[in-house]
This record gives sequence, structure tokens and C-alpha cells, in this order.
Amino acid sequence: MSSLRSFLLKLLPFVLLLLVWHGLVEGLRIPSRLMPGPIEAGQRIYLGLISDGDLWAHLWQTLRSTLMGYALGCVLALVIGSVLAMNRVLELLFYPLILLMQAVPKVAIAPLVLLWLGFDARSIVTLVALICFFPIFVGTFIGVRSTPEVLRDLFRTLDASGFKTFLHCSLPHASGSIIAGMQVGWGFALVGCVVMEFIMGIGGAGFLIDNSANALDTVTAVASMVLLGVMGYLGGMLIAAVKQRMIFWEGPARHG
Amino acid sequence: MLLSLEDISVAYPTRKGPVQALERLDLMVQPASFASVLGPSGCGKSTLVKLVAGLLKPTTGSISFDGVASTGARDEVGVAFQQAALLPWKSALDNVLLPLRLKGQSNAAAREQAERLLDLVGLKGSRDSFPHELSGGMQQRVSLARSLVRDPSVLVMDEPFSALDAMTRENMMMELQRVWLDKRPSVLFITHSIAEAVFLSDRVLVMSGRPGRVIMDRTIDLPRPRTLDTLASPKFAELSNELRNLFRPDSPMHASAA
Repeated sequence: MSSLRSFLLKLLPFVLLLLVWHGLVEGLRIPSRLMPGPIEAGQRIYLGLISDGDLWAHLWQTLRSTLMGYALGCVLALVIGSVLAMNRVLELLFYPLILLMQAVPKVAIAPLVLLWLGFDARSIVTLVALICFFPIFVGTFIGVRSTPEVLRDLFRTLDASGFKTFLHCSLPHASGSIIAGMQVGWGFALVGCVVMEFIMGIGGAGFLIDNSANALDTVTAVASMVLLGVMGYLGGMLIAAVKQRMIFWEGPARHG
Repeated sequence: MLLSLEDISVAYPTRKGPVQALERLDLMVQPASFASVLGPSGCGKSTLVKLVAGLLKPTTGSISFDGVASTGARDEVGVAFQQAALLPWKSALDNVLLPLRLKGQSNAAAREQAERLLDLVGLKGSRDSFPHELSGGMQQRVSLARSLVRDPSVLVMDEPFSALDAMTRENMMMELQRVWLDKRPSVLFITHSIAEAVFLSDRVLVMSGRPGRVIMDRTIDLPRPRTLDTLASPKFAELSNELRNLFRPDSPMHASAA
């Protein structure tokens, strides 16, 4: 299949979605106060990003908070996941605690985080880190744990220390699983950030949606929702592209 | 280097109680000689490999290299596993270099040596290929080159060709002889194939069923280098048959100790 054709095919669902959206809004004569069509939303996006630019500040705030929380969550999950995977005693001690923490929906503890850490960016970053921790942790843990025994034996016959085996064998082996966890984690991170912005109400895309919906400015709310979706999608695509480049030894490129 | 295993016993704990994998096994491989080990499944051949490779400690008995007792991994021992066990994210050359890189010894001279070894095993053009781009036979050759990169005086190989098709096996058998004649380490070669054992070795050791002991030590006095003609010679057939008879269902080998 030519790359032009596959590119067009990838575009097709979005085009169809826009057509259906437009069709429904026009056909059922839905008032734009309730649900604007894609053309109106597109006009609002143009206004918000290009001619007036009032949406940029909010989008940028969300992106920044999400990225910072995501980075923190990644680092914590990588370190804790690796350590627990390499050491059975620590695993026995701490894995149940992690599962316990996971059982509490992070979104539910958002108000508590605000109470503990204050009404500022720290709370957002912390909640985002908490919410995206688990999938990345699991990806890391499983990836490192699943290092084939024959490779670990190989490193033992070469008299390699535990750390060297981790660095040169287990970690590269785990990278596919880790990145898969990071893909899931990215989606969670964005959710966490937006929820915090709903609650805090002082800025960001979450605030934008909440605030404009309350003011019956549905067009802005829908436009913001679309832009958030694009942000999530682009982030996911970026991670997928990194995965393609890094994990070159698996997947459809294989032969022989 | 002289490899010697004395009075080796190895017991594994299992769900059903301890299993005696090896019992009072004695085995010696003379310097620069090639010894094969033949035995039924489960007789403890892999346990033997793990002992010599330093992955396992014997429950009793000792392993010595040139008379010096040792357990644990040693630089002088090269190991080739049943699976090629290559790192999929590294090229063939980098895989061969791995033992040296882990010791911090991978410089330009090391790279040259790794390239020479890849040439030696017939993979001159595959230096930068990745394992997923190589066939099973080629991967085993990389594994062989890697096991030689530290110039080992002892080479232990655990059925390295068993995952390959019959024709590739025969080719690899010839290759291994060629490589071995070049370097002459002491080799302990585990195999299921009587033909491989007879073709490659100076001695063939036959192991009993579990718990494993050496029940026959047959010297193979075929002239070297051995060729396809050797495979067809009457002496080869005679030796092969002698060993094959030991594997018949009614032979004493299958009776294990109580």
C-alpha cells in the first residue's frame, strides 16, 4: 500500500466524524448553544489560536502542568518499577502498598491533594504524577521481570554485576513494555490535569471547558475540548513514533 | 587447560522433594582436546554445562581448572547455550564484543578481534546485521564467535545446534571443527546427535539416566581433520553403532539408581 493511500485512509475516520457531526447538527437543527457544528467550532479555534489567540495561554498551562507531572510520574515509576523487579524482598514489601494506592481513584483524592499541597501548580503536578504512575510502573516492572532467563544466565557467565545486567540487559529488554506503559500513562496524565483544573478553576484547558460551559458559551467549550483531544492525540503519536525508532527489533519490520 | 570434575553431585529441590541430577560424577577434559557428552533427556547434561559455566555450585565435589578448584564464572571459560541468546538490540559485532565490553576492555584491538572471529565463523558480511535479520544458523555462529572472543582455554557448549535443521547442523559441525582446529580450547560439547559426537570429538562420554553418571568413555581415534569422507568411513559407522547400542531401550543405561 502506497504511503499516500495509507495516509488518506488514516485521515478518513476523522473526515467521516466531521461529516457526521455536521450532518447531525444541521439535520436535527441543534442550536449552537447546545452543540455547535464543526464549522462554528473551527471558527472559534481559528479565533482562539490565530486571530485573537486567547486560548493559547490556557492550552500552554495545561500542557506545561501535564508534562511536568508526567515527567515526575515517569521517573518515579521507572525507578520504583526497576527496583521492585530486581529485588524480590522489596517487591514483597512494597507491591501490595502500590496496589492499595492504585485502588483509590486519584481523581477522588484531588481535593485532598489541594488541601495538603496548596492551591497552586504543585498540586496539579503531584496529582498528574500520581495518576500516571501505575501504568508506567507496571510496564517497567513486567518488562524488567520478563527478561529471558537465558540472557540473565549469559550475563552471569560473563561475571556481570546486578547493576550492569540491569543496565545492559534488563532495561533495554523492558523498553517496549515501558513505552507501552508510557502511552497509557500520557492519557491518564491529561485527565488528571484537566480534573484538577476543573476543581481549581484558575486556568488551563479544564478551566476553559468548565467555565465556558457554565456561561453557556458552548462553542468555546467544544473548541477547547477538540484542542485537548488534539493535544492528547499528538502526545500519543509522538510516543508511538519514539517507540517505532527505539524498538526496532520487534514489529512488522522483522524478517528472517 | 585441564578441566576436571571430581565426585560431583547436584541435587535440585523440587515440589516433590529433592531430585538428584548428578551423582558422584567424574569427568576430565585434557588440554586442547574435544570431549562430547551423549545422554538421554533429563540425564543432567544441562546441569553439567551450568556447573562448568559457573551458573551452579555442586552440592558436593569439586570443579578444577588446571588443578585449581573453582566455582562461579571464569574468564577462561567460553559458553555457548542451546539458544543463541543474542541481544536483539545490538548488531552481530556488538554481540560478539559484549563479554569484553562488560569488562571495560572493548577498544579498537577488541573490535578487530571480534571482526576476525566473525570472519572465522563465516559471517564476514553480517557484521552490522541485527539478530532478527539473521537465520538461526547465523545466530548460532554469532554465539560461537562470542564464546571465543575472550580466547577461552575451556569451551562448554550445550547442544548449540539442536535448534537448527539437519543440513545446517551438518554445516555447523564442519565449521566448529575448523574453528576449533584454529584455537584448540578444551571443549565440553553436549549433544543428542551420535554423528556429531563421533565426528567432532577425541572422546565421547556417555551419561546414564538420572541421576547422571558417566557410564562409558570411548576414545575416537579417527584422523584429523575429519571430512565428509570420514562420515562415510567404516570406522565411523562402527563407532556410531557402538554408541547407538547403548541407547537401546533394553540397555543398562536406562536403569537409574534407586
